[in-house]
Amino acid sequence: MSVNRDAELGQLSETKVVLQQARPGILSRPVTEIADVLGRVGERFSDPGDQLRRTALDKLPSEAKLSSELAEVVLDGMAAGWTRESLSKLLKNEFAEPALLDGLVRDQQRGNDRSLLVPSVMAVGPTLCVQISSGSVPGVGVNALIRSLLVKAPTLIKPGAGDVVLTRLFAEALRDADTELGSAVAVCYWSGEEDHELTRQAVAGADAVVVYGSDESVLSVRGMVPASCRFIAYHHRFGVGIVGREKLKGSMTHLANQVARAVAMFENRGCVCPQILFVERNGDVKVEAFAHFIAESLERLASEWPSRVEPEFADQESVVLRQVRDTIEIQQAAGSVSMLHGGLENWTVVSELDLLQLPFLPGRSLRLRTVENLEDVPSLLGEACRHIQSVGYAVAEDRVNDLAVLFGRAGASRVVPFDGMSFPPAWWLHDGQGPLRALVGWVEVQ
Amino acid sequence: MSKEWELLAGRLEGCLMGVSGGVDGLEPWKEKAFQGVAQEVFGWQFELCDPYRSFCERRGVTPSSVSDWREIPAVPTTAFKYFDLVSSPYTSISRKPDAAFYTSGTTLGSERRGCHFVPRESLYRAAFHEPFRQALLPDVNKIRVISLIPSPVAASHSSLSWMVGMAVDAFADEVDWLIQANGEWARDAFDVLHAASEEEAPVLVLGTALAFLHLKEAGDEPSVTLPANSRAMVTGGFKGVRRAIERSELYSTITDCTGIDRNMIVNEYGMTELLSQMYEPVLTEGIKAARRLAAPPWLGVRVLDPATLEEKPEGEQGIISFFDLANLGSVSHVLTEDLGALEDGRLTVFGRVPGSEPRGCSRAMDDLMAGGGRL
Repeated sequence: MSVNRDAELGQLSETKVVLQQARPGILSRPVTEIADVLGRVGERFSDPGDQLRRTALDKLPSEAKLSSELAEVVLDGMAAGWTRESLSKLLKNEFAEPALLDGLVRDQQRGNDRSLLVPSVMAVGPTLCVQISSGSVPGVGVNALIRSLLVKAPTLIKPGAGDVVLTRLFAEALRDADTELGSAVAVCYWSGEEDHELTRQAVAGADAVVVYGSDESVLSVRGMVPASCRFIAYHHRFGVGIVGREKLKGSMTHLANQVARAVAMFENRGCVCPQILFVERNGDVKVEAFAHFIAESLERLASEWPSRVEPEFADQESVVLRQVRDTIEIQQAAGSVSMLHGGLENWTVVSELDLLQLPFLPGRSLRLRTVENLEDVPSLLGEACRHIQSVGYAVAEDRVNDLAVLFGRAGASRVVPFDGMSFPPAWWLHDGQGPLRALVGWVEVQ
Repeated sequence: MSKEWELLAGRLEGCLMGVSGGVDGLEPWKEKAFQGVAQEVFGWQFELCDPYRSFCERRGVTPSSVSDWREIPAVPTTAFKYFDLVSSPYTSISRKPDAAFYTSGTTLGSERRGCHFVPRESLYRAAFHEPFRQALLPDVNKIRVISLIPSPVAASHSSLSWMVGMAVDAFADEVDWLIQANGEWARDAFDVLHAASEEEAPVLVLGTALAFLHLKEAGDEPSVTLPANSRAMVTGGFKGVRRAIERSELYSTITDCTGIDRNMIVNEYGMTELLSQMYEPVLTEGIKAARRLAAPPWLGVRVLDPATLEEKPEGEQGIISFFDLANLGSVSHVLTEDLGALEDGRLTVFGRVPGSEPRGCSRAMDDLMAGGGRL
C-alpha cells in the first residue's frame, strides 16, 4: 500500500474521531436553535445578493452537467427546502414535539390505563452517521447534512460526483456561521464505485449509514456494515405520470408544460422525473395530439432551459441518443410506436400502443402509453411498481385518493400533481420513510 | 431465391479470399467494385430483413433509389439487441443459421445482449482469414497458439471465440486453451508459458485486454520470455474493469508477462455485429502503425458527426460507422457507439461512450420490466 494511500485512509479515521468529539456540543443545543442556524445558512442559497449563491451558481453547471439556466432553477427548487420555515415544518411533521430530540418528554398517549404514571420518551440520533451519495442530482448532499444535524448526529458525508460543490459550500458556510455545528460535519469526496477501500474505512465505526445509489452501490455498502448498524438505503427509483381522460380536453398547453418541466428538470436524471406517462383512452384530445403538445413544450424549454453544457458531454449524449432514436425508428417503421424528437435538442417523446421493451432514452425523454383505465397501470407495471418513486398525476379530484391507494399498495411512495413533482418539500416521506425518524432511535422511561 | 443468394455469398467469399471477382483480396478495391457489391448486398438485405426494409422505406431509401453505399441507412448496434436482423433466404425452420453470436453485456447483468445471426459461417471464415494472416502471420505459415480466449466449443455464442477457433483451424500447429467459458483458468497459465519459452519456435498469444491483465495475477512469478519472433494479439476494451487503464499499462503488462515486445503486439478491433475485423499492422509496418487500424477493402469505414451523420473531416473525432460486405446475412451498414478518427484511411479508436444508463438517482424502468414485468 502506498504512503499516500495510508495517509488517505488515516485521514478518514482522524476525521471521524474529530466528528465524534463534536457530539457533546451539538447534543447540548436545542434542536430549534440548530434548525434556525441551518435555515439561515440555507436561505443564503436563495438570496440573489449573496456571494454563496453566486459561487454555487458559478460552479454548479460544469459539475452537475446542467446549463446555467437550469442550474439556477434546480438550486432555487432545492434551496426552498433549506429555509428556517421549511426546517421548522420538517421538525414538526416528524416529531409532534421537536423537544423530543433535546431530552425526555412525557408522552401521555403511551400511558397505561391501569397506571397513573406517564412514561417519558426521547429521540436519539446516531453517535456517528455516514451518508454516502452518488449521482449528479445537486442538493442531495445538503439535504443529507441537514437531516443528520437535526437529529444531532455528527456526520461524514460523501456526496455524489455531481453534488460536491453544494455540499461543500453549505458545510463551509455552516462552519463560518456556527463553529460548533460546523465541526459536526465533514464532507469528503471519493469515487464510491471505484474505491471500496475508502468506503469501507468510512463506514467503520458508524452506528448509522445512509446510502443513496444504485442497487449495486447499496448492496456493496450494506455488506460492509455490521448487523448492529442502522442502515438506510435510498436506492434508485423511477417516476411515472398518469393522466385521466377527463383531463384530455380543451387547451392542453398548460398540462403539457407541467409534464415537460417535470421531465426536463435535472435533465430527467432524477427519480422524481417521469419516464413514462400513462394516458387514458377516449379523452376529447387524442393521445397522439397530447404527445405533440408535450413535444412542443419540450422544444420551448430547450431555449428556456438549454441542456447543452460541455461539448464533450454533449457529444457523448448525442452518440447515445442517435443509437436509441434510430433503434426506436425501426420500431416506428414497424408501426408499433411513434416518435417525436428535437433533432439536435435532446428531447424525445415516444408514444406506444403496448408497453414495449425499448432502450433507455437519455436526455429529456418521455414515453406515452395509452391505457383503458389508469386503475390498470399497477398491474401492467407488475413488480416494477415497487421501484416507483413518484407518481405525477392529472386526474379529477375525486379519483386521486383511490388511485393513490392503488399505486401506494403497489409500491409507490409519493403521488403528486405534475407541478409539484420535481421538488418535494423538506418534510416529505422520502421513499416512504420519515427523513428524520428514519435516523433516530427511541428511549422510553417507564 | 436461396440459390441466387448462395451464389452471391460464394462470389463474395471468393473476393474476400482474393481468388475471384476481379478484386484481389486485401489489395485496395476500386470504389466501383465496392459500390457494386454493396448495392447488391443491400438489395438482398432490403428484401430479406423485414425490420430493416421498413426502416429504409421510412427513410425513403430503396435499392433502386441509392447510387452510393453511403446513402444506405445504417442500423445502430443497439438495434441488434431489439430485433432479429437476419437477411437469409431460409426461414429458421428450413435452415437454422450457422451461428448466433451474442454481445457480452456488462457486469451490471441487466443490460440486454445484442444478437448477430450468421446464416453462412463460411463468409465469416473468408472475412477473417486474410486480414488475420497478414496482420499476425505475415512471415510464417503455422505457429503454436496459446489462447487466453475460451475455445468455440466452450463459448459457442462468442464471435471472438469462433474467430480464435478459425485461427487455430487455419494456422496453428499446436494450441493451448487457457481460459474456460466462465473466465476461470483452465490450466496453470505460467506452466504452459514456461514450457513454450523453453522451445525455439515462436508463439502466438491471443487474448482480450482483460485476460492479459488477469494473466499478471495468475502466477507467483508472472513473467516468462517467449521465444524470439513470438507475438500477441490483444482485443477488446475493458468491460468489467472499473478503473481506467492506460493502453501503455496494458502493453507493458503483456511485455512483462510474456517478453513480447511492443512492436510484436497487434491490437485487433472487432465487434459481435460485424464479421470483419481491423488490425494495427505493426508487424509489417513497425511501431508507427500503432493505434492506426487498417480495414480490409470490403469494410467501408467512416467517422460521422453523431448529431447530423455527416462525415467528419480527416483527423476529427466522431462516431464510427461501418459498411461490412461480409455481413451479407444480417445488415451491412452499422453505426457503432465507438468514437474514433480517420487519418490516411487508418482508424484510431478512442473508445465507447459511457453507457446510456440514467446518471442521477433515477433508474431505467425497462431493466425492471425485463425482470418479470408483463411486456
